[in-house]
Amino acid sequence: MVPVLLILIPLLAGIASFFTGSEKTARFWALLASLFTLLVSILGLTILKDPSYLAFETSWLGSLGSSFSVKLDGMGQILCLLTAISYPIILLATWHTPHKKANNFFGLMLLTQAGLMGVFLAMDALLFYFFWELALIPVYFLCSQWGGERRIAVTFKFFIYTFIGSLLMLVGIIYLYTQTPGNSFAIADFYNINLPTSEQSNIFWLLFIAFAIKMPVFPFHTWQPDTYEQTNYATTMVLSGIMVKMGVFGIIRWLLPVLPAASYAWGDTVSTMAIIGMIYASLIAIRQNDLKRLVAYSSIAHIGLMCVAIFAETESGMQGVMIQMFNHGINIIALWIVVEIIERQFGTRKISELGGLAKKMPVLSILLMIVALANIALPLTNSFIGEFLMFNGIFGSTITKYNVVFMVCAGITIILAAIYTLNMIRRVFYGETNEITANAVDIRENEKWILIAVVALIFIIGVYPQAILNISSETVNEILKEADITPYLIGK
Amino acid sequence: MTIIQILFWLLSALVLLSAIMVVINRHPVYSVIWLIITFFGISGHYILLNAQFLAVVNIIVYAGAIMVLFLFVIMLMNLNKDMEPQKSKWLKLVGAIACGCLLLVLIAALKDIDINNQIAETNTGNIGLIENLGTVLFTKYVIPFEISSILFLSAMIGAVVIGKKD
Amino acid sequence: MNALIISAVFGVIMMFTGIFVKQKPVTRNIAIAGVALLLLVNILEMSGIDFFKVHTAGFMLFDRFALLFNSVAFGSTLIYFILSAPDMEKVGHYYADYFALIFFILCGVVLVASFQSLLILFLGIEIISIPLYILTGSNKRNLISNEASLKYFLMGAFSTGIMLMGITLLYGATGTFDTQFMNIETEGTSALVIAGMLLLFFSMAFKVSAVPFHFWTPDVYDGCPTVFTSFMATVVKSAAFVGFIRLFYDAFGSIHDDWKLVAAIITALTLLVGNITAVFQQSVKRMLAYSSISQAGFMLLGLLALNATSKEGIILYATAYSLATIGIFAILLKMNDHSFESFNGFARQQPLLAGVNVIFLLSLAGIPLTAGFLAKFYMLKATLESGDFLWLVILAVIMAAVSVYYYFRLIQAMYFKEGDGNAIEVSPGFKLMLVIVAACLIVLGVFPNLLLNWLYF
Repeated sequence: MVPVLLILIPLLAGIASFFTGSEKTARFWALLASLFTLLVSILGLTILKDPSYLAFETSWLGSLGSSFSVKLDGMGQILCLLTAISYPIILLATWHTPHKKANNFFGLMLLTQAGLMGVFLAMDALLFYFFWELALIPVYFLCSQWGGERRIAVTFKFFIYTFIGSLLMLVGIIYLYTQTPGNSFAIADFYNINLPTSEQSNIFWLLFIAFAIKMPVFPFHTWQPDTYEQTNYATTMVLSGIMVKMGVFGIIRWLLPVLPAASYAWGDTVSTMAIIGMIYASLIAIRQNDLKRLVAYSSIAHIGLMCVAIFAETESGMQGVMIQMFNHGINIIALWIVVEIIERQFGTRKISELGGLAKKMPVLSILLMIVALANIALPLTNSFIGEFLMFNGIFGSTITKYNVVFMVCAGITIILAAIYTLNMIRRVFYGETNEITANAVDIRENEKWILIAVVALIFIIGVYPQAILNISSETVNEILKEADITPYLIGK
Repeated sequence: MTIIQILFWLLSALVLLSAIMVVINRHPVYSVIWLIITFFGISGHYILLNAQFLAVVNIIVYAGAIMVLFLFVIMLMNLNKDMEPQKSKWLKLVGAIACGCLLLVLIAALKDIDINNQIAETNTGNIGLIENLGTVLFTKYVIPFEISSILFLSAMIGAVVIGKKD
Repeated sequence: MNALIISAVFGVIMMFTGIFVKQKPVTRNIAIAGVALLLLVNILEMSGIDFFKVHTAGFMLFDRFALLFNSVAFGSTLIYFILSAPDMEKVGHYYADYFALIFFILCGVVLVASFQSLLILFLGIEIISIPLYILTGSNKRNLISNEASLKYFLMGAFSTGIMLMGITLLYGATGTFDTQFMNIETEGTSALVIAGMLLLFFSMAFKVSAVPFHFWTPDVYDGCPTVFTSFMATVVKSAAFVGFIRLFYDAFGSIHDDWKLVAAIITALTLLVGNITAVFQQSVKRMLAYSSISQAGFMLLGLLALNATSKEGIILYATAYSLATIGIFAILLKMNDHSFESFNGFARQQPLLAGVNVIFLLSLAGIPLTAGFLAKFYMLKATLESGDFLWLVILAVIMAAVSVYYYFRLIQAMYFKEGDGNAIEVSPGFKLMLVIVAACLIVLGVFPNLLLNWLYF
């Protein structure tokens, strides 16, 4: 029941939102719906933990071997919780941002949430694909209608990129479907397919490109900085906080366990791509003068690390990815909130034009400092746990020969991350005030409390990560068992 | 080589030659006249197949009625050589290549046919006689026959729609 | 058989309507009632109630596939009449005759969907084509329309010639017109059979405007009065496809391996050329013409695969494609000019029409939750099931992504570009009908079995 509610609440509320009248009603309605979703998500973690509440299946396209099958497993719990938490945060943080045709805006936002939930919950490949696209279409409208000057062209690039990816994924899914014994789309049947490695490799790339574009992994990342830059903040937060996790999630659930031999064969290639992307993105971030682009490139670097850790296929690395997906989501949303505040006050995102904000905006500075430290994974913050586990996993990986190389290279990007993050803080918040920043006033109440809430989350997870690790450990072990390549190696 | 075979080859040569002349000839009126000759040649083939009725119909309908109409139209429109638009060289080349390919395929298809095996029922077949034709048309092929009436009806309406003054 | 006879009868009735009924709305309503009746009797025939017990002597076979497609064609025509019939008034003076010609076309559609003999296929194709030549040229004062008609006629006549040649060669090789009794697998594939088959293939490829036989399509679709382009690009085109698949399924299914590669190459070319050329079009009408070529590429996948899935797929594809295209054309007909720019700011003026138009475009682009997605899905599935055409499937999906480019340009114009657009007025009934069509697309996109179960039960 819980998974159905998680999809239905935002879906119905989103459709209803199109018919709401004033901006205020639409806003309250969206907030109410998202809070309700959050409540259901938390209930699913606590009171309604019994497996019978967490799974739902009903027949749908019977003749095609597809069913409406949704289930909340450990990984699903974490990502649904992230989605459910993010939405109230985003809505509250952008509470005072005016939107033209607000009812459409919030309706599309909620529809996106329904799609995202569906992606994380689907246990049927066709259903997964349906939700994958359902999450994309409203985002296309959100990005094209509300955003910067070049938004239409940029969003179009983003859309075409992801659409090509998802269609290739569709081919892969249909191919796998024809290989299942009884022609079924159920995930359990997908896990039982044993294809020879060469066939797996073809399918691997079909699926991987879709996920890689979404994450994004180098060299499929070119849509991302532009899109983040041009899009309105609320959508950017959804895109970077939650949507990129679709890619990571896709690899963990639909790639690694389904095509273990190909994942093994191509793991090093993928990791190398991710590492190149990390270093490249970090170097660009250092040279970046635009705050939005800086955060965008920093996101590419973080996601790259997750990608390497996934293909290391160790328990610790995988657990690290799980917790880091959650952390990255809330940290980057917090960063966007700060960037939005700055842009709204000063009308510019150029680092070179800002300075001395710490004197004028003390509260913001302190909160940003903590978020920034979390971004570079300092101990006591949430990211530290995640990155530590991932590094541990990469180092201890038996599946790749280059684990030390990967670890050293990834380690360099941590240092680079510290450089660009701290450099940004130094230039924006310290130094002399100039005529642009002279009349700055501190942040609004709603933003303050939202940021404080996020910071509290950062510390809570940083101190007690076990809460999240416990949720995901079972799923991680299952996936690693499915992804085990020993049967293939014995065959050789 | 029997007389029928000799006639067959002669008629075939005539048909091919006149058909080529239809295409080559610059002047539309000459083209139509060559086309009439082609129809006569084909009617000759029908006679060889012992289908006198079809031969006569072919001459009356095609060579007689339709071609005369064509001639009238062409003469009324007063088409001259000069009005013919010049096609580009490339277009001609492409056309030649495409049709050459088609020719090649057809020749390849037909070269294996055993000509000695007498498929055509020359002089002995009787399907082309008016009585047999009528019987077959109204028994075995009655459905296509009836359906073709719809075709003619729609063509008639079309002619009215297109031809009548607004 | 119900539909065949009644459609021919209604063609005649419409002719007389032209003489006795002077009010155009009455004429229109008679035509709408006629198509509704056709749909009804055809559904009755699917349920086993046949009014005319005619012995077809093996010339036609009214099987499930044929009957279901007839229903789809009649349903699409009904929607087309309700949405666009008022716009036919603007074309010329022969309002009732246009309906008569369309009823004759429907008669041809029935023949092409249910033929079992090559003779009937030929007659069906001709009965479809000749009225279409007329309809294309029906705007007599417009030179472009005349040119389109003449071009279509010449090209069509040429392809009919090729088809006749093919039929002749096949008759020479097998001694029969009956597709079920050609026994090609036992007779062996002589060069005569192959040549005949290829000629038939090419002429059918011409009718469905597959590349490289597509050159007539953009000019003809563009020159034809828009209201008839809508019919021509949807019902007629799907019918040609159903005939194409039926022909190759029945007659040449046993030598599938011999022509598979040719079909694959033509499919790939159609997908490539159709989509890439469509990107560069500046007029929505012309874009839709090229889009019809690219959609034909996807339908050709069904021909290539030639299995049970592809039969289901072609029905679904025909439905999804026809409904969406008829809907877009109905809206396009209300616009003053056909450029992309004329749609600027459309969403602000007509939010409902813009909304349903988005659903049509999404369906054509193949976005999930619309029938267009499942249609494409069935085609891809059929091709993958038949094996060894992974490259073609990948090409197809990349081209589907390209198609998003030109379909979404219209969405961008409607929603994200500012413009006065042209103020258009539509009746509530028109809006309601479009909403129903959009709802059909979504319902079929979620429950395709509502349609496909008719193939079996």
